[in-house]
Amino acid sequence: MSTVATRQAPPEVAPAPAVPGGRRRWTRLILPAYTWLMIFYLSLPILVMIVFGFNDIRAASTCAGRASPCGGTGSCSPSPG
Amino acid sequence: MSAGGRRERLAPYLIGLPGGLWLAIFFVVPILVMLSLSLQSGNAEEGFRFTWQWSNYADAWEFYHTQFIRSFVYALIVTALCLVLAYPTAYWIAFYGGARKSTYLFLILLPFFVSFVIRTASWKFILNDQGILLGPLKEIGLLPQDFHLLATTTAVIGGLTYNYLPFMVLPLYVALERVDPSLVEAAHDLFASRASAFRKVVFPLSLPGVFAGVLITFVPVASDFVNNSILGGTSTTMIGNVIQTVYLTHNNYPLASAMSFLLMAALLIGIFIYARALGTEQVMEVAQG
Repeated sequence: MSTVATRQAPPEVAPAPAVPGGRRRWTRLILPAYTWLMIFYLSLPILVMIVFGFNDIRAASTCAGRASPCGGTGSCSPSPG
Repeated sequence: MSAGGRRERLAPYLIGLPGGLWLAIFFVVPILVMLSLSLQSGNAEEGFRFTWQWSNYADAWEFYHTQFIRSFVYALIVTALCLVLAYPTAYWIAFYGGARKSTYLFLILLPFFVSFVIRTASWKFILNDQGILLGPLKEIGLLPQDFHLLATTTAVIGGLTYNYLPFMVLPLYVALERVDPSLVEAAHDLFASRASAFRKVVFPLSLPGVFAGVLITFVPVASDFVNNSILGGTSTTMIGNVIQTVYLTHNNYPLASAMSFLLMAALLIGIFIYARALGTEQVMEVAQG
């Protein structure tokens, strides 16, 4: 007895029902976007500190007229503004 | 009994000895010293004497009950905010983080490698009346010129929420990470919607994380003093600030100790009620599967 291998056509797969308005497509982005927003929120104060860390503190120092360890004369304390 | 048997019987105690000694020296002894101090009378110049001065406790409540109540209200609000803000993040990392779970957790923890005080001071800079947040909004007329955030309840609660958020994210993540995804699949197979699968499967299984997160957020928030010192004002004073001032500025050690004990007692009672309400046994059963 001989058998003939026939290649069977794959069963037809019913297409996935369309989600009205493509809701799933954008809703699945909510949680990752939220998580990245959270990471940004947690990092914000550090980023601000880093950016303002490049300020010229010597120029902004309030000098009281005495020698300071940061160079020049003054108390080396940055002005509050 | 043979020497080996005796050694085996003693082994658990020997293992627990270092921890027990540590607790005895650095927890029990200071607590007893503080308890003794809270019942003393006198002043810093002439010295304090143990006189069973129970009135210190009555005075602590009478003079500072507003700050006690405010601290607890702030702690409740901050804990609820942290839970609501942290849960979606922990959920997404646990279920969809894939191979990058550790990276996301690291990014969440990264800011906390910087000092607590520096981070809070940075918020002071951001929330300043003419700072990078309010300045531009005032310039374009979206906010009135006299609007301010610093020294308000919003600033203090915002600062506390920011600083204690990771304390909520981590336990939630650990609990959610342990949830078997096949249970969620099974719920979907049984025609549960996404919302009901979350409500009936995921959330109950994450309760141990919620329980731990609420505890480790609520307790330090209630006694925090840094956020109010930097972001708050006189109308937002918390009990931690009062204890600090009474102890270090007024040098009234007995009153400060009495306040610390009252705070500790109130926290313990609150935790006990919370544990009873949530049912720790149920939580532990869920945790153990």
